[in-house]
Amino acid sequence: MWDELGLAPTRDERAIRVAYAARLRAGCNPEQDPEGFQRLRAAYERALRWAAEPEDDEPEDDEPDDEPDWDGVEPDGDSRADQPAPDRDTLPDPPAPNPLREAWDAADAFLESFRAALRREDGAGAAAAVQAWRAGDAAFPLRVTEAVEDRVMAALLDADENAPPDAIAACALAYGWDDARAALRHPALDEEFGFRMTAALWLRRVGLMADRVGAEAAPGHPGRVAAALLGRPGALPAKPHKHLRNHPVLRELLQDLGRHRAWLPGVPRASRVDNLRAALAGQPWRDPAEPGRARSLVRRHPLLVMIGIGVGLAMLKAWVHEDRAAPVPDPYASPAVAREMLEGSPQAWVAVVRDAGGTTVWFPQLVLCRAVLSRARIGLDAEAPVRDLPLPPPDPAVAGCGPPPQGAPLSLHVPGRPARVSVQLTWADGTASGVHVALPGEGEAKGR
Amino acid sequence: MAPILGIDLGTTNSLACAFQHGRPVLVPNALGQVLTPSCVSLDADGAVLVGQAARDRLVSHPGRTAAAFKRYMGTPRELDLAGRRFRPEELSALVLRALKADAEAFLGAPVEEAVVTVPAYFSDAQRKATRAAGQLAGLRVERLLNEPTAAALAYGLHEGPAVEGKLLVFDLGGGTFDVSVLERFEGVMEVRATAGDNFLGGEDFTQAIEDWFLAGAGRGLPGRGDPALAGLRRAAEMAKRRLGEAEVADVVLPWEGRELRATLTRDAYDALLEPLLARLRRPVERALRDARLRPTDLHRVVLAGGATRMPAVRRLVARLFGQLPLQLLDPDEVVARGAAVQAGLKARDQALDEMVMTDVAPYTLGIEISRDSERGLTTGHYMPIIERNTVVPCSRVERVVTARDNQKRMTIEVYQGEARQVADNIKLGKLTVQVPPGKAEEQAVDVRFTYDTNGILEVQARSVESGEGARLVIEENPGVLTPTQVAQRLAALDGLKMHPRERAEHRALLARAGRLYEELLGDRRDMVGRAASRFEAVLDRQDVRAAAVAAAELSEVLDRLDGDGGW
Repeated sequence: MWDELGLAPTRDERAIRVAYAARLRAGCNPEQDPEGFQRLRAAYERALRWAAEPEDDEPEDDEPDDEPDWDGVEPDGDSRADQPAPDRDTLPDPPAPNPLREAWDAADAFLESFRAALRREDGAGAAAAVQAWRAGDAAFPLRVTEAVEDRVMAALLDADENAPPDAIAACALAYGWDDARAALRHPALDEEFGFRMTAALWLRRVGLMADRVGAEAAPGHPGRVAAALLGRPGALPAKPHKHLRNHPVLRELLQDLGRHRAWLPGVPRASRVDNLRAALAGQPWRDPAEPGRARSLVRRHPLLVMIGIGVGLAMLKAWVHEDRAAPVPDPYASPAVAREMLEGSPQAWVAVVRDAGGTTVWFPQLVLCRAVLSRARIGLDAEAPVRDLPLPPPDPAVAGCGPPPQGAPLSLHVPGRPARVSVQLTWADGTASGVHVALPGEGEAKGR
Repeated sequence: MAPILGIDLGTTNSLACAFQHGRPVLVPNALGQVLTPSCVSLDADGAVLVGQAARDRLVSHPGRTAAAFKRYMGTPRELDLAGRRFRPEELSALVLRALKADAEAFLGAPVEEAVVTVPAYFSDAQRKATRAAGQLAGLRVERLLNEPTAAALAYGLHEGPAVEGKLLVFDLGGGTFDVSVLERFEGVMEVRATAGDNFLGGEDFTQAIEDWFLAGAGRGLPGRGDPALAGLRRAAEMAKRRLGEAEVADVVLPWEGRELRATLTRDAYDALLEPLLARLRRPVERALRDARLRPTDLHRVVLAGGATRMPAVRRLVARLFGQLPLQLLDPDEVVARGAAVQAGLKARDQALDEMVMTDVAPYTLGIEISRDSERGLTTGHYMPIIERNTVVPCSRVERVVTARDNQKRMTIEVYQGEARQVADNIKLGKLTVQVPPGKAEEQAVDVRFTYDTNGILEVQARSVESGEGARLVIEENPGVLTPTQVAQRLAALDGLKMHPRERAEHRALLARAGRLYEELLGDRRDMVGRAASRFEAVLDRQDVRAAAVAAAELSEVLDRLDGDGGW
């Protein structure tokens, strides 16, 4: 490797880089000699790795004596960034070789607090520790950070069953273990741990994506969030596992999907929804392509009912079964079912969302089911339900629930910040419903 | 030696640039402008118009005009122009042909070879489509250059050889977003990491304004994308530009004889932008993490791409990095200039003697494998072979073994992506290799991935025992044309009539008049109509001098009425 670089063995990184650059300029580069360049690059990377390895057990001894004293020379990153670089001599090379002793001390302190948090099964504490470490560890030499990464992984594996999911997720994100290449680099990563990592990460990712997608979709349309999530590649884990069972994030996603189906920009594949349900029920995953899926779905029905999410579920069922033509009550076809559905889930009538300018009352459910309603009224705080919600006229072609006409308002902005909003519906036959009270922030996805 | 042309084939605008006398020289088009809009239009007698004339015809003849087709590169989607179906490669080829003609006129020599830039995050299929476009345009595209790398090259030349340090290129173009982290040392420009988003660019910002308009003042109009609304895109684009400086801007759409008008305030606009700006952060973080750098380690941040002119984008960049971005070169031109530098490198131009550039593979590339587990053999696992941000060109071999006894053949499925499960990655193709009979795990196959400087992957598989091998030709991807298809399309394109270049100026004037006629109302509209008719009458007389005078007159009328200038 040293022949390739035209250099005597050295641990001086700068010398290795200079030699590499000289060879590149001399013609051994991707443009003029692709083959030779690959050999040169391999030699260069090996030389840099070798230079970074400790010469013996005392890692701080491997700094060559002729290395300049960076402590005195290098300003901190911020002030350096302010000025353009006039020439190379005034621009020291970050990452500068920091005193190794200091780095190892900091690493030990971090590992100690991280392990202590794991022993307490304090997921948030461990997560915070690893995040804080990663936020600053780029200043340390790679050999330190990589050694620490291995020890973090080992600590999680030691804790095994007791490793808190949020700690796993935080570490996986901090170190990019969600990448295949990083995961494979760790021979210690056994499959069970891998699954738990994937599960923890996936839940975390759903949370992050929900935030992001939520901001992209029309604000206040949580159904779009769910749909967009399911429509995205990678939004659902490729494998099921028990670690996802009964997780509240999953449950909310399912409810959300069912409830807001009318606004879904594209209908998610039924198999994805099946997988979601299977994960929630802790059932083995079913390959969507596998025959016999329909039977297993029927078997899972009671479990669905147990999940018990009222309207969301009714609509979800209708939709999951759409492409199999199973006879299920369909609120989209039958006014009776639509009304029953509304009566059964007053918490879905409106969603009250506070925002900077006041309060918005969302009522997409009611617009959807306007065929069975003659009016819908709300009252703020102690007020009786006297304010009419602007429901568009029903579509004569649709008997039950139907999509809203284009441009129809789905929300009403109300002044101030009412602590509660009461809702009363008048059915198409003139009878009135009971009064339901909605609280801000409620009814968005919780379905209580 | 025939010059090599550097071409920035953009979503919104394209440019050509040549390396001459030690520096990049931008090539003007027939109208004297260096930016040629990436628009193609067919006029009534079937002749092809490219550039500004085509862009103006987006308003007056939306059904015969196409724009932003770079977004569909690498997909099987076809666009309809006056009943004739075009693939995005063909439309791009028409733009490339126009640039080639401009360059030949400018350089006075035939141009056969070009360096074409692509977004760094372009996939295999998108890169192949870009190459096919070059082929269809009669250009040898020996080099595809990543756009942020091109920008860095342009800066590298501009700054001179002595400047070192780490820089980040923030490249937000019309349709794509790329981030590259580079390091310069000892004359070497080394790309350390690249990340991006292939579907995020200035066009999305315009679209957000359109959507806002349609949800408010334009309620009840047909949905976005309807040809009847062709003028809206332009109105939104102009509002976007004005909001760069002004606090408010009006979006005005002539509709059925009246004007629909909505006022967009800066605050409302910022709220529209927020979700888009939020998407810029992730690739930046990833590129820095892959390069193992903190934002404070960067010595400078460089902007490329027209969308970085937006003040909101600049503010975000300043906030992300804690430093103001550098802008020494025009962000619209910097990529094309870099492409010319690469062309100069390729031609071994003396002025670039001391400059070397190395780039990386933006994605991880690997294959699907099975793994033993307590539940038996499970499939669908991803085995990376070339990891992302590996320096290219590179070649890596991995050995895989048979899963079952007496397995006859092994199918290697090739994927691109970062997820642990192949289901979450993008499939590039597959190849099958015969293996001699034997016990499970006793027969091995060597899989070799070779990734070249153009970002094109070649896969070879060879049985270790028999030496029998297979090479991957990705043909099942509907987004990529096969060589036969390319030949067919080439013949079809050659049958198209190109608008003569010397008349381009007149065409552009008439197209602009047509667009203004659509946009204006009442007297001003009549004025445009009359002026255009007069001009057409003069053109019919075939008198060159008279035509030049009439063109100047019409141009003056249009300038007076077209308050916002060209775009």
